Amino acid sequence: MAMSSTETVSSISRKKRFSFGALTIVLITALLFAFLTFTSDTFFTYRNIYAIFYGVSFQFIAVIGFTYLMIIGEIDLSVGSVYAFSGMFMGYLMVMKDVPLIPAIGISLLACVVMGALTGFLIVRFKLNSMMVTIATMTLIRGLASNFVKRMYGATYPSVMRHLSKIKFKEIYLTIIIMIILVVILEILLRKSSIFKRLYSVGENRLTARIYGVKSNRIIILLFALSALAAGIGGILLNSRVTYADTAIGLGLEFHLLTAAVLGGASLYGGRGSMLGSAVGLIFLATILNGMVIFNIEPLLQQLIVGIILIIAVYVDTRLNKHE
Amino acid sequence: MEPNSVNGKSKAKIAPAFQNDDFIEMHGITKAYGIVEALNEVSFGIRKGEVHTLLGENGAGKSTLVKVIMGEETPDSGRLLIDGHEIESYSTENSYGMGISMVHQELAVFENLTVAENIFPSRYFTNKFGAIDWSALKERAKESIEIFDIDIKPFQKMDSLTLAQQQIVEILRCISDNQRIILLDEPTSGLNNIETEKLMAIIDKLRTEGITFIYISHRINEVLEISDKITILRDGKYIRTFVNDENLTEDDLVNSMVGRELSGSLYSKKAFYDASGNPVLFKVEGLEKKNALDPVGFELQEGEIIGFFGLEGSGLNKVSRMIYGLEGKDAGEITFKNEKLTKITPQEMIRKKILYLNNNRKQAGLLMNSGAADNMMLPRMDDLSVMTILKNNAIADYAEKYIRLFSIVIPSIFEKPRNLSGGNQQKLMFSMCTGAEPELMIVNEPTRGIDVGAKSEIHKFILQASDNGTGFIIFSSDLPELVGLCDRIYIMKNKALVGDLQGDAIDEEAILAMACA
Repeated sequence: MAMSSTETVSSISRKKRFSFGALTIVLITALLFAFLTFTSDTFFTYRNIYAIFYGVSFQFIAVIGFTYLMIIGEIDLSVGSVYAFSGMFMGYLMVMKDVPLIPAIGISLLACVVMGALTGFLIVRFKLNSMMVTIATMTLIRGLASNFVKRMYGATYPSVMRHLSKIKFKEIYLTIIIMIILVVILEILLRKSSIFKRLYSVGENRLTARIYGVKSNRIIILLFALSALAAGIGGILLNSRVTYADTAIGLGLEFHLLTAAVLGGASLYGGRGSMLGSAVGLIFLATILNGMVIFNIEPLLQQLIVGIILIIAVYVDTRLNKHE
Repeated sequence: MEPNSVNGKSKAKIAPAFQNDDFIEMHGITKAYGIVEALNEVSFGIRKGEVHTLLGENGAGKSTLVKVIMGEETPDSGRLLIDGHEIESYSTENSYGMGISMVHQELAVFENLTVAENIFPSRYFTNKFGAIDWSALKERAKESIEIFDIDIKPFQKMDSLTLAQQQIVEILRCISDNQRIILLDEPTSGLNNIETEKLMAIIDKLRTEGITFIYISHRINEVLEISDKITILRDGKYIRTFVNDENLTEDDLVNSMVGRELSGSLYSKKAFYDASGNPVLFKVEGLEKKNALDPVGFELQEGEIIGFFGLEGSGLNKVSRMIYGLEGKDAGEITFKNEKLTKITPQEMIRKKILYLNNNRKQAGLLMNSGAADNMMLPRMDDLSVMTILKNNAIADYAEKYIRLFSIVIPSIFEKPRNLSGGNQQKLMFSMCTGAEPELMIVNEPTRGIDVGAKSEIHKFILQASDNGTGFIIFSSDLPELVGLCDRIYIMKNKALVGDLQGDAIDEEAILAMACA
C-alpha cells in the first residue's frame, strides 16, 4: 500500500506463516473419532479401528497417484476401472493361462502402466481435457475388466493370489504398515524435495513452470502412468482380498478418492494437495461410513451423507481459490 | 522539499483542488487496510468533460481511489459526490447507475460473442415475437462503430479482434449505455503506437461530447498528450493537480510523484556501445515457421543490448518464444557462444544460462500463490538442493540476497507475489532470472505497467548487468524505453524482419516509419 518502491528493505521475515493445510482434516477426523468413541461402545475397539485402517490401506495405494495428478491440475477418473482391471487380469492369467504369480503381477501392472502412459500421452499431445479422456478410459477399461469376469465364470483366484492381501508383519497386515510408511515418506518428500515442488508449480501455472525449465509434459505423462500403476497395485491387493472377480470392485472409487483428496487439501484447480491429507481424508470417509453402520443408518442415507460431504469440500475448495 | 510547492525552475500551473462546477467531488476520503493507510484525507474535484489523469507510483493510492469511485470499496471516512448527489451506500450497481463505468486492464469482454452483442450485452433488440431482432442489433452496433471510423464488422467474433479493437468495443459499450464517467486503467499497456493514437482520438472526441474520463497510466508521454488535468497522489495523499498546458513537463510530474528530483531523465539514452568488433554471443539464422514467421536472422555481439520492435501481428512475440523453445520452429539455427544449439527447450536454455522474462507477469512468469522464495528458487532448484532435498537455509539466504539486490518491498520471503504491487512483482520476476546468473537474457516488456521509480531501477539494472557482460535481447512496445536502452534495434513487420538501426541512427520516428510503412 503506502510504501514507496524505493524504500530500503529493513528486515525480511523468514518465518513461515502458519497454514492449516492437511491439519484441518486431521482435526476434523480426530473430532469424529472422539464423538464416535463417546457415543458408541463398539467404535473405539482395537478390532474396529484395525478394520478401518485395513480397508483404507487398499484405497490409499490408489490415492497416491491420484493426489499427484490433482496437484498438477489433472484428474484421473479411470482409477476405479484400473483397480478392477489389474486384479482381474492377473487372476485371469493365473486361472485360465496358468501363469505363475510373479509374472502375472508383472504383466498386469505393465498393462496398467502402458494404459496410463497412453492416457497421459493423449492428453499432452492433443491437449485434451483429462476429465473427458479418463471418463472414456474409465468406460473402456471397465469393459476390459468385465470381459475377464465373464471368462472366469466366478472362479476364485488361486490361493497364492488370495494370500497377498493377508501377508502380515508382526501380527499386523503388511498393507497397513506400507500405508503408514508411505504416508510419512511421501509427505516429507512432497514438502522437501525439488522434484515434488515442481509438481506444485505445474499445477499452479503451467506456462510459468515451463519458462523456468520444468518439463511439464513429461511430468504429466509420467504421473498418469504412476496413477495407473498405483491403482493397479491397490487393485491387485483388493482383488486378492475379495478372492474372486467381483464386478463391484472399484465401482465409484474415483469419486471416493476425489472426495478424500479434496478433503485433504487438494484442489480441483491444481497447485495444492497433500499425501497425509489424502490419507486422512480416506480414513475420515471410512470412519463416517463405519459410524453410520454402528448407528444403523440406512445405506441409502449413507450415500446421501457422502454426497453432502463432497459438496461441502468442493465449496470450501472453490472459496479458497476465489480468495486467491 | 515542502510537499505542496513545485521546484522553482518549473513553470507548471497548479489547478485549485476544487472548482465551483465540479462533476465529481471527493472530500476527505480516507481508507485504511489494517494499519496501512491507502488513502489519507484525499480531497479534489473533477469537472465534466475533462480527461483527468491520476498519477502516482504503485501504492500511491490510485487503485484504492478508483475502487471507491467504482463503489467496490467503502471509504472509512469522507464524502463522494457525483453531479451534486452524495453517494450514500457504496456498491458497483449504485456507481453504474450513477453513470460510472470502468474499462479494466484485463478486458471484460465476451470472446465468443459478436461485436454487436458485446456493445449491447444487456439490452436486447427484440421483434414482435420476442425473438432477438438481429438486424436492429446490427444497425445499432454499426452506428456505434461508425462514430469512430474503425474497421470492425458488427457480427465479427470478438476473439478475431486485436487487443486494441477489443478495448474500443469495451469503450463503445460504456457510452452506448449512457455512461457519463469512464475510468480507463492503463488502457494502452497492450497497444502499439498507432492503436494508442486511435484511442487518444476517440477519447478526445468523446470529451467534447461531455464524457468525463478518469485516466490511469504510467506512460507519461501519453498522459501529457491526452490529459486536461493531472492529479498526483503519493503515499495515499493528494499532492496537487496540474493544469496540462505547454509549460508542464515530464520532470514536473515525475518529481511530484516521487517527492524528490530523479537524477537524469527517465529515458536518457545510454551511450552507444559499438560492439561490431566483438565476438558474436548469440546468433539466429533462418528462423522460420509456416504462416507465422518468415525466415529471421540476427545476432548479438558480446556487451551489446539489442531490441526488437514491431506492431501487434508483426511476429515479434513468435521470435522471442521460438528462440527460447516455448514454441516450435519449422527451420532455423541458433548459435550461442560458437556452439550450435541442437535442443532448444527452456530447460536446455537455462542450463546454458539463457533466461527468459515473460511479457505479462499476470499471465505467466510468477507463481502468484506460492511464496516469493518458492518462486525465486524455481530456475535454480537443482543448485539449491542435495539429492533433490531442498536446503531451506540456503534458499532463504538466496531469496534474501536477491530481495535486497532489487530492493523489493516485501515483508517476508514467504509472502505471495499476488500481495505485492506491480513494480515489486516485476522486480521479483527479474530477480528470478538474475538469480540463475544469466549470460543472456531474453527480456519481454521489462517495465510493463509499473511506476517510474521501479521502471528506472529496472533500466539501471539492465544497463549495469550489460556492463558486467550479460547479453540482452529486449522485446518491448515501449519505444522510448527501447531507444534509451538499446545499441541496435531490429524492426519487424508482417511476420518478417524489415531492418535494423544502430547507434545514432536509432530514432523513434525512423523506427515507426519502418514498422508501419
